[in-house]
Amino acid sequence: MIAQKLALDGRFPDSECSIRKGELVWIGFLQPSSLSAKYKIRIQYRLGQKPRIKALEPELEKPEGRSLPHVYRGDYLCVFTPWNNEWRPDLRIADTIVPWTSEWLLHYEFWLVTGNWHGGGTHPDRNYSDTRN
Amino acid sequence: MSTTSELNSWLRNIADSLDLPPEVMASAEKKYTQLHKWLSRDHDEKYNSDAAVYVQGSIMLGTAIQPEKQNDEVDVDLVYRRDIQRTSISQQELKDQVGEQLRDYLVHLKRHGLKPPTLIEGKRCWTLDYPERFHMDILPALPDDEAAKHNTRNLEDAILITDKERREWHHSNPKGYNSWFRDQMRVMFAEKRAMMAKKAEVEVEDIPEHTVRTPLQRAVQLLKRHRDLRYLGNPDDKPISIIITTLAAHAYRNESDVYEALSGIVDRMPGYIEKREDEYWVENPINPEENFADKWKDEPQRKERFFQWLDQVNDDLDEALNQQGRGMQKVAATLTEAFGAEPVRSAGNNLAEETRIQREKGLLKMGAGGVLGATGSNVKAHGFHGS
Repeated sequence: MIAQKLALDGRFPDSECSIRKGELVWIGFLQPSSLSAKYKIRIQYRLGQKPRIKALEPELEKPEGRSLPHVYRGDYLCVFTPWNNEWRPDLRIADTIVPWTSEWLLHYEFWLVTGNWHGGGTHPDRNYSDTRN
Repeated sequence: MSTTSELNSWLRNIADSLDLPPEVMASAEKKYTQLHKWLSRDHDEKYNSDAAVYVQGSIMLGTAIQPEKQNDEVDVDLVYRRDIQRTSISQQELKDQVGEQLRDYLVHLKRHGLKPPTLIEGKRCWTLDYPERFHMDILPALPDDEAAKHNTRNLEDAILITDKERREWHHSNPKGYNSWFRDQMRVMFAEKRAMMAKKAEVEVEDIPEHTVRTPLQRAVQLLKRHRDLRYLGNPDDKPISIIITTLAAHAYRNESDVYEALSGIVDRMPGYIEKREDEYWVENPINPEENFADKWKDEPQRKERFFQWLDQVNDDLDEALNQQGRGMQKVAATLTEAFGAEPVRSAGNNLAEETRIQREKGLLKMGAGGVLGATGSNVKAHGFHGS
């Protein structure tokens, strides 16, 4: 956990990262392109669980009542395929989850423009909400 | 990536989708080849002189755009030049003789079981209206025997054309204009063509000239589309393409980026409109006697509309820039106002695909603040999950 925090602090000096009661909470800003909005992102992580990613601000748009693509219940962002070993606890959140989140945000904005999701990925049951590895 | 280079990507992709659709082009080319072949043979059978048939207008310039409305037609402009003296034929005779040939052509098509287009006579040309979404305007012409008087360049390409409303032959030189237009972007054209050749790993000569688009051509396409949208209800009032194209070509400063080219052009365009006494002039760059804005004198509202429209382009470009940092969807909404929903959606789809492919190739990087692009550290392979 400390290593995760150090990597996040090192790569994103303007963000906040704390570890309390075994939970790492990172709050930082991501702007996936210079035209894009700057999103306030929260990443929560406990050992043995998958990181949970939420866009806090600005509120994500859902045009015409459509639901967001590639999110878990509660609009937590799905940035990796759970069974593909893409995310492992030995990987740095700073080098994986954060850039994937930025990419998610970019494709989210493209989705708002085109109505299509171009980021690739899988489409499981919408109710899938397991947060463990 | 800087903001303007991202706007450049959007504008380049929007202009891409304004190009005439390949299937329409292919169909038009087939019809053109058919007509060209028949007309050449018919000419040789009927007359003892030489002739030339060639494409002119926006297709030759590489600035043609799709019509805004689904049922509007693409127009292909042709010159049919008969190499005879002006003293040997009257305007009326030339026009009638070409009309006669085209009627024979329709009979020929019918005889071969092909559905003929409709033949319509216009002020200066004959139109073949095809059931597919395009028509061909055929301009009967003679070589201009006084070319040097009316042309500053490409004298051998100068032509005389008929005009039902004028007693005098009208001087024209579409090839000369094309060569002037291409001179204005010569350097960037060579650069783009070389880049395309390098990317395709072929010789420069293997890249057909008509497949190359410079930022000047892109800017003209975007300006024409912007105008078409503004004047959807009253197409007769819209600023004419030849004025837009001429001023844009004058104002182009060899920019390599479509956004930079377009905003620079829009700023500088008015500087190329002259005021001669009480008359506004947009001089034909190859024929100093011709004023493309000759109608502005008697219909001053045309001048007003031109400047109003140009202001609107400026405002829309500024607005797109102002939306930076507020979300691509905001920028796209402004661009949709300016250029229409379909090209913007198509541009979004292309750009998003490019980003995904970059990442899959391991070429997508993330820089400071989360900005994705060609710099920073690599974005590792992964798949988005969830419905």
